[in-house]
Amino acid sequence: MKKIQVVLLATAMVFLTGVLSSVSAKCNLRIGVTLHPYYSWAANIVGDTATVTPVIPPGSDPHTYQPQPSDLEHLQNLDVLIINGIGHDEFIKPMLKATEHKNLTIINTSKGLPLLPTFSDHPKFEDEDNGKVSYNSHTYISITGSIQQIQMIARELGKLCPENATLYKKNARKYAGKLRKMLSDALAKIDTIDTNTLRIATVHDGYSYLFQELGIEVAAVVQPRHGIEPSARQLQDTIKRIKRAKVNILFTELDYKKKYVDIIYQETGCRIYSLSHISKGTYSRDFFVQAMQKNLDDIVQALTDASKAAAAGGAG
Amino acid sequence: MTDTTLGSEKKYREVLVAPRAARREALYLAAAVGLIVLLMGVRFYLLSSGKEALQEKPACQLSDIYLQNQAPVLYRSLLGVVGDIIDLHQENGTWPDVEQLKEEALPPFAGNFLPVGLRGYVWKSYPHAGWVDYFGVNSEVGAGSENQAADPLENSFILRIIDLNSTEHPHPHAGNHGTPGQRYVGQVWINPRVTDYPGQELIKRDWKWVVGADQAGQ
Repeated sequence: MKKIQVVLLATAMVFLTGVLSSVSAKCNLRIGVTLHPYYSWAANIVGDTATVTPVIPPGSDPHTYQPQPSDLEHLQNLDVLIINGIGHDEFIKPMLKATEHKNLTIINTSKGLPLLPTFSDHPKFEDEDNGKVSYNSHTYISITGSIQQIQMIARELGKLCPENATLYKKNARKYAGKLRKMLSDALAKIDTIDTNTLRIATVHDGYSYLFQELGIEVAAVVQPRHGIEPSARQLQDTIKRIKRAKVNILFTELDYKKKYVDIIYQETGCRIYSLSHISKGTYSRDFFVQAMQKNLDDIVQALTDASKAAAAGGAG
Repeated sequence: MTDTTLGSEKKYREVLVAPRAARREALYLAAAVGLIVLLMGVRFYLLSSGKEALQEKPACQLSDIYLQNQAPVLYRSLLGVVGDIIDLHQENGTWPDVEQLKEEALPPFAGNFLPVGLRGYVWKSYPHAGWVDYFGVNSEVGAGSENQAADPLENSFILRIIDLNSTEHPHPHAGNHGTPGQRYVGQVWINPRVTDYPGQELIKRDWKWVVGADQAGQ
């Protein structure tokens, strides 16, 4: 009789150990991300309960990245992958095809998100609607859009790891509160600036979501894509567009070359400021907040300077 | 061809040769041009297929890309709080009212998270058995007014959150957007007029349901 009890007890213990280990293994999620903001968001949501790793090395340009064999091996070892899905991480598509990782859960951050059309496809700027539209993939360069994506990521991770679902929601809400505070602080500063005389242009339309939520209209987008080295003719065209749109502030990207900035300033007199595209640099938990705060500060500064110059009767 | 005889001398055969029509060359050229046109067509197709076709929509729906000026900000802001409202509903068992949402610092109910032009909206909640409506109306324009010429804006908004587990649903409702296990859905409805809360008669009273790229047609 005792023997039977011992056997039953041992079986129960083996069973319980198996169950517990499978639960804990499932809940130590290995999360991969394709872009910097997703790293920061996921790290803030999961805290220490999961590992978050980037799919491509820091400093790589997601637009031009060529996957390496080691990247595919890394992908094989992930449970979850967070992607943009509408054009900002196209490199991931062939990687996913090559790995055929059937158990990988993909969180597409653009799913269900209200998207903006690209500047050239916007009905406001396009007289003829050909029934097709391409969407602006820079959904992460905004506060409201980011919050929506963060909440969605928290919900999806909570489904995969139900015992942490409440923690993920709580962390997401706290993080969203921090981001909203940044937005309201920036809006309060913008309220004090007379923006009526200001005409704003960007080198590409990556910042449209952000400017929209700040209540700032973008009058022109002077280059079709970001990261391209403008030819002499393209630069001339950019200058013409700035003059035509009577722009007094141009927002470029951090890596936009100084020589082009100087030429544009000499030719047009418009003030030029740089904004971060939030997709280069070291992956960290605070990277998104820091980069976004810098963008907000620089926008406020640009508006303040240009408004003062306009009030003083300067060209800008 | 003509035979020519010059007395008893040799006979010569005169051959008339037509000038070269360059038919073959013309044919090659036409083929090359055709090939170029074909390649251009293929390239155009490949480029345009990268864009998404706007789906056919029922008359009551409006694609969100047609919202103008600051209306998209309010629309995004409303969709951005759906998750928070659902969390509060699950935590407390009741739909949160507007005061609660203000205390939670949730835009657009807490106006300081919006550009100055959107802070004049007055919000009220209307809880129903299986859903809740958050109705907002622009208090800065007179009743019955339509879009303001200088800054066209939709003057009335409804954020509707539907509990799909409930037996009572408003019409139309979005289903679950194809996501298995999804319990709640959020909808945003707009009206250019300053109006009273329309209850369930949204379509009859000219309200439009704003839909994103992946919602149209539902």
